[in-house]
Amino acid sequence: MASSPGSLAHKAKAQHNFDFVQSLSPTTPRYPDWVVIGSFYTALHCVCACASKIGWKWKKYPSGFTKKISMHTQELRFVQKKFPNLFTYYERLFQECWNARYDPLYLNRISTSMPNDMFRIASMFMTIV
Amino acid sequence: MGQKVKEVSRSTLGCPSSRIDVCGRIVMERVRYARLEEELRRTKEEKEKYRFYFLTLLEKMKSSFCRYLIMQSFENSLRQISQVRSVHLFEEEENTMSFYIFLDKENWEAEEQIYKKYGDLLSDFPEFDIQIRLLRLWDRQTRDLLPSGGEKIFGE
Repeated sequence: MASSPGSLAHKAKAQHNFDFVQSLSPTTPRYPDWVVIGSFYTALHCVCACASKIGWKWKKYPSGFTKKISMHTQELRFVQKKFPNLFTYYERLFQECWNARYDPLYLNRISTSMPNDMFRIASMFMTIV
Repeated sequence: MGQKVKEVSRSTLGCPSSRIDVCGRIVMERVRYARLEEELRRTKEEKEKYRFYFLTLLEKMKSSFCRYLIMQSFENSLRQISQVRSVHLFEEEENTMSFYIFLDKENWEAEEQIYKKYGDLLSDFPEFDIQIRLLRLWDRQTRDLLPSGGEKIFGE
């Protein structure tokens, strides 16, 4: 199937994020939290690129509509359906990214291998686009 | 952006949590069984019969009672993981239910189990918007990290 413009744009953004994470030296990073954050957004755009490529439609809801399914849950269901082996990795990236952004202790307490582990997961997502 | 969140109380249902757990598990098992049956059936007539049963069951699940049963059952299954220190359920804006799951520290084995259970929940109940937040205490108190109280450290 030919790539759609949306798919190509997401792929380019994923590559951009991936290059950014690589530039942070994920094995010995000075900014480990940003390695984690960049890794998640690499994966997110890979997922969006795949969804766009196959014409997957995300549900969008009018303002005030109460029975919504949030975008993250929709993304998770997409990953679960199309790439079941990557589901756990995607959710792990999401959780690490959330903690990296909001937990003030994150920098001091995460294991030294965590940033590179997340980068490796992002690399796996780069192979699906 | 601030989020309106409210913690979902166990007393919402007005019945003991042990009973909720049992009922929740029965509902979940019935749904799984109905799906399995539907997949296995061959004839059109049988498919219709099971489809009706399945749809009726889903309709019932839409009720808030069943919803809370399922939530409670999932919560209890999380508590069975020994490394899980506590679990809190919040109803956030836009109808999203979020489980805040607390571990003492980074623990890939326990986290793997949580993701597996969460994945099963999402597959079994595609109509629900359920999310998890996996937090590490790192010597802090649970209440310090909950969106409903204490110093608001987390939140989008």
